[in-house]
Amino acid sequence: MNRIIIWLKGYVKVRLSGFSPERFMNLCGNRSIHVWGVENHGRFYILYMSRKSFLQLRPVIRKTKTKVAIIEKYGLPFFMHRYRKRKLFFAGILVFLMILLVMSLYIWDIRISGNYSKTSDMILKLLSDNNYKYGMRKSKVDCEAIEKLIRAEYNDVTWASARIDGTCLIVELKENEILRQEETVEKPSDLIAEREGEVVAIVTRAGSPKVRKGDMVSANQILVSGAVPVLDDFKTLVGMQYVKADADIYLKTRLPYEYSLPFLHTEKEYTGKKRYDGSISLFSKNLKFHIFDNPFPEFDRVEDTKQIRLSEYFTLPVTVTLRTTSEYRTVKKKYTKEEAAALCKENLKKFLDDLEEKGVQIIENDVKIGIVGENCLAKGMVDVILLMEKRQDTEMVTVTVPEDNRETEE
Amino acid sequence: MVESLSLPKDLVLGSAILTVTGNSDLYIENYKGILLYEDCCILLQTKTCQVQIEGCNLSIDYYNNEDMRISGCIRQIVWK
Repeated sequence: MNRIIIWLKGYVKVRLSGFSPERFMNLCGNRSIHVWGVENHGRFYILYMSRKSFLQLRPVIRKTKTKVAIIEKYGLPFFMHRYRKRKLFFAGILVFLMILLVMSLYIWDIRISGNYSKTSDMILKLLSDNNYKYGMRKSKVDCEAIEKLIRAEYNDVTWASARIDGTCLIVELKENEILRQEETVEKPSDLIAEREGEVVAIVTRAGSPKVRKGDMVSANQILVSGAVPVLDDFKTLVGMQYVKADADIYLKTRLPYEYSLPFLHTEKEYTGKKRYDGSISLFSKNLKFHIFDNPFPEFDRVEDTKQIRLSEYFTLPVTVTLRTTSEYRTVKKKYTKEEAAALCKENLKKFLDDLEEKGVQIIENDVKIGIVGENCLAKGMVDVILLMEKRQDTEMVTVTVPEDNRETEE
Repeated sequence: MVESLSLPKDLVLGSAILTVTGNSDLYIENYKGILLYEDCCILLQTKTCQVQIEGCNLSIDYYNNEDMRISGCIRQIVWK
């Protein structure tokens, strides 16, 4: 920082020679003339001093009868003086600073955080409908009004905050999680079997279980019902209570697996030829400079879009898109038997890995890989233990209370 | 008296304080003036005595009325 200040003020490298340079240095010290980087070169000394200090040297030089000569000049004042005739250069800097200043008066980015059930697009649309848009004047943004607007529009938003940081409008909100949980509290439902199999474990937390460990069940059979019978002291059914069935039911079942891979297939073979072009979007208007619209008969295209920002919160209304187009040729190829078998095995492994990732326990697989005509075929069954999570709405049953009970109630 | 009152000697007696880092840097406070500056010797005046710094490629990084930083290869420091 200190160096920057020195550079901005300007400094000189001088050559000092004469009868008593030490006296010169002492006088400089006494008169608070800032000198640094003193080097002895035998018959002369090299030292640095600020531009202002150099102008105060005259009495010291006269007193000590030394000679001082400027070797080099550094810093902003000398730079400005050297290029004083290049008016357009300075005008450019000035225009740049002006543009930067003007740009910093507008909102170029809106960031929303803390939203879970409301998407950012929904909130952006709400803001946009109320004239809070990209490119609006910062002075016209009323943060308190935005906060009120969001809270009024969404009941479950308990806290909202809007602030301006640089050219960014940052909207933070907090949704009422308890309310959201309550909303999802749920209508009564049964847990049903996804497929046929044998129940290997069942732990019921809510609902009435309809199967036991070791039972064989068919697809869509109710495992735990959401209808819980209410019995009186005489074990007579007096009513039904409906809940969302909650249980851990593990079912041993068989999953079919089939994958066929034709030996003949097409592959992309990249030629290595690439074309680069892109576009600039300014104030949401595209200035395209696509040079190669359709350069190759077959190609892949990758677009990389970036918004220009000076700092994290100083976003400019300029978006640069870089486009890379790579040429390829479609080539027909034929797998060897070994290659095809390896690919089939790999696919099976991926299938099993995916199952394991979902929490499915794999007991056994009897998938066989063989060749059928022009295809390599992997077919068989996989024995697994699945957690049953499929649901259906609980059927409401009307309970007729026996006459005797009614009487006793009366 | 200075010791009994626990006063800093540099303030009361005007003694120079030398801080030497390895043999390459020297920082001196409370000096009065430069008597001699050569490539291999710097002689400084303090209130009580003279301090002679000997070595090679000695340069003064910066100095002002009160302190000075010297860098180079310092071989010996002599109080005269």
